[in-house]
Amino acid sequence: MKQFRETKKNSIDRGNDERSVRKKRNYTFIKGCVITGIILTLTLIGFFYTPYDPEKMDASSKLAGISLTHIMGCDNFGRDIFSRVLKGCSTTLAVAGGTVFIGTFFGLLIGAFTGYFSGMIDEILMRIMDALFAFPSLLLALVFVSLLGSGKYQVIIALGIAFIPSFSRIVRSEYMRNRKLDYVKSARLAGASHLRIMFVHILPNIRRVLLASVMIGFNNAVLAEAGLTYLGIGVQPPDASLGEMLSSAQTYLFSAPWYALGTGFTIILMILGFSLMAEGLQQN
Amino acid sequence: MGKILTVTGLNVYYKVKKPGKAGRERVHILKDISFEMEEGEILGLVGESGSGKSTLAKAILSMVADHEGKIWCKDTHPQMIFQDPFGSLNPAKKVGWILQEPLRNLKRCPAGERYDRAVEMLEKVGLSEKYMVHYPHQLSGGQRQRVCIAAALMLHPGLVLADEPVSALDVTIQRQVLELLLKLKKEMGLSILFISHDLRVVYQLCDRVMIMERGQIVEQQKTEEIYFHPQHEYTKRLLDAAGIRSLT
Repeated sequence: MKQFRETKKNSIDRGNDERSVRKKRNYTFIKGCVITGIILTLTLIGFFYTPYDPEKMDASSKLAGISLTHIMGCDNFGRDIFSRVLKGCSTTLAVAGGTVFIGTFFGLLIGAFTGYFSGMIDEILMRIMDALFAFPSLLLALVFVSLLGSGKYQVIIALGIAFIPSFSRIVRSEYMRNRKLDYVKSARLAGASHLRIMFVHILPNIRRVLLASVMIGFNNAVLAEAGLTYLGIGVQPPDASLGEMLSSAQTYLFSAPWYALGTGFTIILMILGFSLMAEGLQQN
Repeated sequence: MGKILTVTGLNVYYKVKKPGKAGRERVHILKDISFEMEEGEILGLVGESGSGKSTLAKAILSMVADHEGKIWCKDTHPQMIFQDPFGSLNPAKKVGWILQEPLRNLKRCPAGERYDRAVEMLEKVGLSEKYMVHYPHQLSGGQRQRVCIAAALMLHPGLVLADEPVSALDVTIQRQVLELLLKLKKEMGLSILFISHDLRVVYQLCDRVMIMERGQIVEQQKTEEIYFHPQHEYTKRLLDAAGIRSLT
């Protein structure tokens, strides 16, 4: 009898443990929110105030190290890196956000319709997607940039289109898996239209996969933007973007490591914040 | 008593991809099915796995594309209770939302009344209002099947197809759910097409039984007739396999 009581007590304890674990999981989301909040605040500040003019060159402080006057040092043109980071955050966020938005929006539409209905439309659309998918996304973006011209908005469109195939593939496979489940049949019997089933019944069930792929896509977009800028077809100078700064910092990695450090640290924070948020949301 | 369901000369085909052959082959799944169902009747449909029981249910709900023959149903929205209570409730939605969904879609009642109607139905299947805010994964198998039944009955259908509604549950819960089905049948005047491979359950529940073998109905009779005077060879084998034959 005593033993029985003890086991019961233990099981209650375990219940408490589970609850505390759940609380911890929520901390992941909060951490992500805090980090993202810091980045967003910095970006917002960058719109109104920067310690120095981010585009003003100063030969005397060329590649100056970290000091009280320049808290992240100066780049090879003597521009204040911290000011440029503040400006660059908004560019990078806009490019990555816009890219992911275009990719997710169209990827979701295409994936949902092809996965849910299958048949002929599916075949045709997916073969087109296969063709798009066959090229590396950077190369594809390159083609679109050469068609549309270079600049911030062109980069967003180019990368966005390049990101559609991978999103639509993920979404399609999820819809194909879900449409065969009984809850879709019972939704049909409950009189729900196909559109309603797609976006009200099934969509909430694939939100985890979708969120994860959005986060991976976001990280890829930051890197892809950096890559495009490195090739000289991305965001045009004097516009600052984190990717552009990171790629030019490469040259001075040994002589002025703080250049790469400040920029890279900001990118890491940005990605970390979003990843933590995604993870927290998934575990909820 | 009028008829609620009349099926005449129903043939259903599936397109199946055969390995090593180009294109798809048309496979004859249901062969010339004809039967009638009286109002307020529980009709058992028995057969081994793959004999086409579920396909017949799908055909009645017009969920199969390729079919010939006539299906007449008095009820405009016949409902179905699925075998797996884990899969047939949307995992991302709360019980209350799932119950209100048919009313929302078919606009049978004003928005303000939906919640009350859902609670009323939930209480009818033996669950209290607090379950309205639960997610399906927070419920046990029996509770889930109760919710499924409630969801199917929200539109007050005349005909309910129950596709092995208790075979995923353990025996005590099976009994409770079957009793609930019988109670609701009396209260709401349901006709139930009860699909099962469990001959004991069918004996307890059904007024009439149809035996299905490889897409054909080989025998349909009153329950007692089937169990005590089986005519068809296949029926006898089924009863033997279930160990019921010794009754005779």
